[in-house]
Amino acid sequence: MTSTELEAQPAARTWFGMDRQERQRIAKQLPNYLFILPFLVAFLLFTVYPVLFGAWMSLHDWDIISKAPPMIGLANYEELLHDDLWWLTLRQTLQYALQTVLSVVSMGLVTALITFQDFRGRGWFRVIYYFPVTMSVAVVALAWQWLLNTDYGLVNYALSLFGIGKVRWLQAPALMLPSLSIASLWGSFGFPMLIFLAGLSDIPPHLYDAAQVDGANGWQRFWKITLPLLRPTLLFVLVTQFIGRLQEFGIPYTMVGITTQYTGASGFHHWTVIVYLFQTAWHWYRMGYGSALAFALAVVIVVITMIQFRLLGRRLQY
Amino acid sequence: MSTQSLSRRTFLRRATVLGAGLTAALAGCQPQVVEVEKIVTQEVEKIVKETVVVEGTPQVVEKVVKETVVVEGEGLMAKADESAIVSAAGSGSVVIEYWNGLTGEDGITMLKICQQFTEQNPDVTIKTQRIPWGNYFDKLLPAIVAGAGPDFFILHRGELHEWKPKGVLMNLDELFDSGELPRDDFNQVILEDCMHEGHIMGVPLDSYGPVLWLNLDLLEKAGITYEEEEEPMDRTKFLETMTALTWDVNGKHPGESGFDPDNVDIWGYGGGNNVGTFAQQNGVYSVSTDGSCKAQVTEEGFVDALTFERDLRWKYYVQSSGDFAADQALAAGKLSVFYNGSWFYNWFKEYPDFRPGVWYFPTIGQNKGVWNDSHCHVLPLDLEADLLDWCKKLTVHIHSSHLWASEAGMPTPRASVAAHPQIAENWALPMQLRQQAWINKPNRSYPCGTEISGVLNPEIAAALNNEKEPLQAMQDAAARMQPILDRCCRA
Repeated sequence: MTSTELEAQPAARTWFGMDRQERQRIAKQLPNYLFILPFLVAFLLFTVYPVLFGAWMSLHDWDIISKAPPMIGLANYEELLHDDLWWLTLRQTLQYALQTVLSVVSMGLVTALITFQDFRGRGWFRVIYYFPVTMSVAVVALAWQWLLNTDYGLVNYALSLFGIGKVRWLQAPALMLPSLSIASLWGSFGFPMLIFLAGLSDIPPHLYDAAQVDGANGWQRFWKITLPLLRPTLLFVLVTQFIGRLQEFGIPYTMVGITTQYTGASGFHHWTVIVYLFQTAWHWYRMGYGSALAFALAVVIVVITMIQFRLLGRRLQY
Repeated sequence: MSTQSLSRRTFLRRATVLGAGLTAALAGCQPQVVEVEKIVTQEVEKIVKETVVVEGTPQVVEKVVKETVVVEGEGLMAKADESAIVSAAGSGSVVIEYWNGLTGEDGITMLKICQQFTEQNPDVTIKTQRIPWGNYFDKLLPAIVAGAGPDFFILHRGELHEWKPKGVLMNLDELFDSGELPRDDFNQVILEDCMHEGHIMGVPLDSYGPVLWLNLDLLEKAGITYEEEEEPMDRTKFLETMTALTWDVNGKHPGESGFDPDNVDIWGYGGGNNVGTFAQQNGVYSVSTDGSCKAQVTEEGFVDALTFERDLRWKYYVQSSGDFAADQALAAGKLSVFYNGSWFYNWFKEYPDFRPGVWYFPTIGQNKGVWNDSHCHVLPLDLEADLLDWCKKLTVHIHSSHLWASEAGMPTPRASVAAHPQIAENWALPMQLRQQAWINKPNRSYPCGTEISGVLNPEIAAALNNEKEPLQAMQDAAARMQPILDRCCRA
């Protein structure tokens, strides 16, 4: 076009300062934003806002009922540093998380390896192993509360057939956390199994063929091929399981409870951080301090997650 | 198979159509609501005022008469639905939201009392929510914070003590000053416990305490005659009796040669611990009563009480040390004496073949003394003005009824209600009413009672489980209690 012809063209119509090209670009992108809008609204309302409100609460001495809680700054966090119940429950939570995650991941991996093999009925086994995951935490906890009952539980009955005396599963301090882990393991190993199955199906079979040709046995194939190539899946499972276990509430609260008068359990041996937080915030009328506990736990979770990414985040390629 | 990819617009269009179709299908599957008119006849008690001329001076007397009336309407309950958590009595335009934790048979009695009120006041509907105590405050607190709390609800006296200073409850002096609920008709220790800075903040509905509930068949088996006690058992008599009521699988009692404590068939005693009450019988409270906010759980009287409770399980073998469902053992005939509160009276309604009895709470310490608590009705400070009068009327109605005591077995704190003839006919109440003479005055000299119990009880449990010596457990408890007391008492 000549400059004369260009000058003769009418000026492009703009709309709110946007030209036609920009409007077309926005029109093309609009469905994307509309698509994520419901989730975004829900995320802001039910995740972001509560987190910000929780942070505000942690700076106040709020007993829930009073209309005007006084602002106390970082006093709740200072108290937390000297609170022996916080350190005790944190230690117990870390112990519980470690033993539960290791057992859940191991069990999930083993059952995934077994049910990955091609044999008749493997589908049924996958369903059976996954089935407890579909049950609510309360149901799992109540079932195991009775199974592990000292006087009337099925587990002690089975042990008595072998001449083993009554084991105080939910009363002896040393057995309390392992008992909770057993219930948690039974109720949740099916989910990692499912994830590992997906990871196993991503491993190219020709690698196993090549290894077999080179004379590698089953154990070597597992250590040199399966496990390294499952690393991303393993990282995902470990991270999600640790995050979940560090926030455990349903199993200890339902199996043992706070008022342990009738279960015979004692001390704080089964208290996780969230159990302590719940008790503090809702039963002791200290919502502000409870919020501070929540944020402190969040920091611990972030640190542990970062460590896991650091150790296992490197991808391996063959 | 087509390899054409799905565009965003096409996907959104199809998803919208599918979603709309699913919604329509689900809506069409909703169950049809059929309205049924209920016609119900019911026997009710009515207070009828009659004018009687006596020596030329007309006197108005009140008479209680029973009538069979026909009551009908959608909103009325034919019979209180025993499983309903939410129920409504009445069909009036004034709606009172009433929350309580009375989920047992006693709650059914409360629904009946509410229904009586709505029959006498047809303008009112009472919507009751019965929430298990373990979840009650999880629901109540957020509701109050959100401004969506009930119009009328229950707190225990212990919780009332913590709520009183927070400025959310209404002062109820007017109910008492007007004479509708005469002050001197109430147990003064209990009424005083419901006061804050001289004002009554909650109306005590009952005065419940500890009871030893007995299996009379097992008493008979032990050769013990059941008769009305003059005095509670002392420590020695208590141990002797519980020993006689405990059998191992070979029929031996604790202390007899060959008794096997690992195979006890029937336990003599069960139901929890009473360390606090036994300590108070020794004259020691867990926290000082003079306002100095000192933890006292390491004092001799408290440690002695804890040691006695520990020994019931590990030395005398009359109480199970396991995780023991005592009420189920009682039902199965494997427990002779069950310690529990007054409310347990309602449990026996489900076991009509059970032969029950009651004994006084024992005196293990130096003096007689029992713990005591009440359900208290309270009104929120921000209650709407148009509901206030109705809620006050409902309060007077409930607290003047004998049914809570005579049917639900909950001892009344009112002398006039205790004199009702149906109270004497209740097999469990007379003993409990006499026992009220030994109520230990509650220690309200410190706030944060719930938090103090929260750190004390696990250590008590550790001693009862034989994990720690009682003194060590109480030293550990005191180490946690004192910083809490210092913080709360300073505030």
